[in-house]
Amino acid sequence: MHLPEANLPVTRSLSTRMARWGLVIVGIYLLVALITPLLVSAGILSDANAGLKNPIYSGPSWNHWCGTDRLGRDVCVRTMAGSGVALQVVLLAVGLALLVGVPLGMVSGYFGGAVDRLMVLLMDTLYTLPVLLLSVVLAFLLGKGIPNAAAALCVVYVPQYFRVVRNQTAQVKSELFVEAAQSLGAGPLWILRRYLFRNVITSVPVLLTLNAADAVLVLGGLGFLGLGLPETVPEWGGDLNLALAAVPTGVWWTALFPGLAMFVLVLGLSFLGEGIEAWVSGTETRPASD
Amino acid sequence: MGRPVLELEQLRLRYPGSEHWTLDGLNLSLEPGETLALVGSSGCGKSTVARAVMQLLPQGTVCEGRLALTGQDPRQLRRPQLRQLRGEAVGLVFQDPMTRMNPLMSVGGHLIDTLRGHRPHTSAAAHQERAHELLERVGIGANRFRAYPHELSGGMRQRLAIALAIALEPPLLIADEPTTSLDVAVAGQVMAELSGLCQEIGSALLLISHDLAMASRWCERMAMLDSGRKVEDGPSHQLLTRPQSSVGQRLVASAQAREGGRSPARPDNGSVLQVEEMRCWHAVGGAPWSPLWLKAVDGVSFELRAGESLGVVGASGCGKSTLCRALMGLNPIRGGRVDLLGQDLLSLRGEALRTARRALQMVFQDPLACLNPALQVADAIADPFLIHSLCSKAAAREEARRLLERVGLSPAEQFQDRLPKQLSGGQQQRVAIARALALKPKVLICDESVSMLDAEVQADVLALLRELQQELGLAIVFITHDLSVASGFCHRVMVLDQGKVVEEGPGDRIFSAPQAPISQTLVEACPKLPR
Repeated sequence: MHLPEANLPVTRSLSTRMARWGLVIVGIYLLVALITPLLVSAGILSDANAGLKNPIYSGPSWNHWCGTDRLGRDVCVRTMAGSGVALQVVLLAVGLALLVGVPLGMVSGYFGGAVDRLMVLLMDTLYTLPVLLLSVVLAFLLGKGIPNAAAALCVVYVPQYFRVVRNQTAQVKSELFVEAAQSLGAGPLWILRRYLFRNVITSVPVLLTLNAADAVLVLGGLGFLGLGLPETVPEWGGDLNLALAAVPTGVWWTALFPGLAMFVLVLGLSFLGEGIEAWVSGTETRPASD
Repeated sequence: MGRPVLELEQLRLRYPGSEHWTLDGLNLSLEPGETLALVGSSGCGKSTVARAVMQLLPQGTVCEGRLALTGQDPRQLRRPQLRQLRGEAVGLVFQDPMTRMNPLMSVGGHLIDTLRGHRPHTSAAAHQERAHELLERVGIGANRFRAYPHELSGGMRQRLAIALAIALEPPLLIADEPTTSLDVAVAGQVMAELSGLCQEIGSALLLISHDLAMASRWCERMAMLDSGRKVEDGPSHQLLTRPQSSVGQRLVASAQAREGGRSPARPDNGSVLQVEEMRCWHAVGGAPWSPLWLKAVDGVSFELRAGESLGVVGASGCGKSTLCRALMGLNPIRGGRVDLLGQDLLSLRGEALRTARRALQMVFQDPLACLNPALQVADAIADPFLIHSLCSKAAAREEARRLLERVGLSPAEQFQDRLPKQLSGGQQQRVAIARALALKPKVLICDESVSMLDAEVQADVLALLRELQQELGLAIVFITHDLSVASGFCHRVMVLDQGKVVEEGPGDRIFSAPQAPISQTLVEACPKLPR
């Protein structure tokens, strides 16, 4: 009324703009991930591992838009195929973490007591280990393959979901409507499913997208170290490692394109996460109408 | 007298995003030292008046017309002067004192903070002295200077809020529903303190309330609002005995209906609930072999017949809430006997207990908090059927629609898909009642179920309960701190004090001739309408 606070609407529109851009970026990656295998099988794109007929380390040209790598493989096709692999692993990992972390957190938060304390101790122990170190060790132990890499990443993210959901549950369970449900004769499972689930799940989407962004980086890190996925699967991190040796000789394309792909995907997912966060907290803090 | 402390002329106000004017051409003026009560049903804009005067309005609110506070228009002031005006020209006392205090700041800290903010040049010692003096004056006592807000009771917190409001001796004090969250006895004390202090320092008092009886007791003049306009203005007594407008007549009539009059005669049916010597003790410390007991409920016995309502009345902390929570199985019972339809609840376990308890349901005080915010209204009412797997999902929803119609939310199609927060308080409480009725209970426990609703809605909800009682033969345990409501609604009233029954009998008899000291206090504190 007196001093118009100009920055309020701007931040709101900034976060929605960020969310929109994030959505567009992630959508493009999904599209690429879906059509690349189709184009390859239709013969329009060459196979990601086929390189025997091509010259090695040839720069970007009409035949090979992003050039070829040390083995003559097309960098463009590998980068496009890599987005499918990255999204698969990341979705699988984060989805698994969600499936394990959310129910554990709800049970732990709702029942409390010794079970809760034990579970929190376990999860906090996992939490203290550095993400990359833990996933490297797990990837080494589990061997190579898409499910194995996803499992290695999943273990890293379970404690985060557990912690968020547990705290939220412990907070919501003291609300009156839970007591009212008890007085109607509802058992613990019913209350967890019907009364707590929808009220604690609101904080998860933010964590989901931010974790997915993080997971892309960790997967790249694993690939760079030669862990996680087999060599036959095109993966950005592995390609970056191969490209490293050639960068001093002026071969920039083998490093640039997979790196850029990884960077933009992480950016897109982060934008999406920030946008969702602003949206969720915005709806929560909006005052009730009088 | 000098010029008025507060002058509103053709004040119009619209909140951002709202279609209609919340205040629509309001005229009001308040002379120095005058006491004015602003009354009206909820949503009439009475709280908005306080916010407009303090300019505590959300961004983008449209506010037209003349607004003068001690001659100044707060809308024209810049931030520093506005801050100066708030506190020095007006003191504000809110409804819920706990949420308005900083939990990390001590009682004295709050006072010193206010004083320092407005009187930066006075010495710290003088502030300290003034804070002690204020605490003494509002009856908290200077020895609680270092206490924190959570260590104070509700009444004490409201006293602190009053101390903060009068700290700078403003010429106008606005109290927005100051006693709604307090029980009758404490509310009386707090209001006495408030109006006494206003007289002492010569402030005008603007009391915003939905309780006509309370308002008339403490204010000589009364103004009634309806959809943003003033419909009545005059001496309280005259307004309540001879209301001119139709809104005024309606509100006064519903307030009189609520005050109840005669208790109905006790029905002559079979008994459904028998409680004998029930004890709920909590260990609050002491050694394991000789624990220190908090005797929340200590040997309470009563019998409830089908179709009868029993009022349980008492000051806060008398154990009435523990009593109903224990009956619902939310609190452990340490001893005694609870017979529901001939079954001893304390000897049943597991599934048998769950089935037996279906006959006993509860309606909570806060209707919004007791409904799952993420569940649509029809699903909330259908839930009890699904919990006890009595019928399919579709049949449960059908049943829920029928119940919605039954509690007066018709057509059900219009309400079934809403979330609880999209309903008004009275509608929420109807949904809660519908849910409690879903399992066809024989006994309904109402824990302060109408105390958060305003007088008119209260009367509606009480009428609904009475109607349901006659139709379904429900026995009702009606827990309240308001003896006047209980005496009109219940067949019998039981007064609790420190976990024991101190008086029992027909409500109108207790109301007119209370025997026990606590009943006398409750009756005295209860403001009555002039007849």
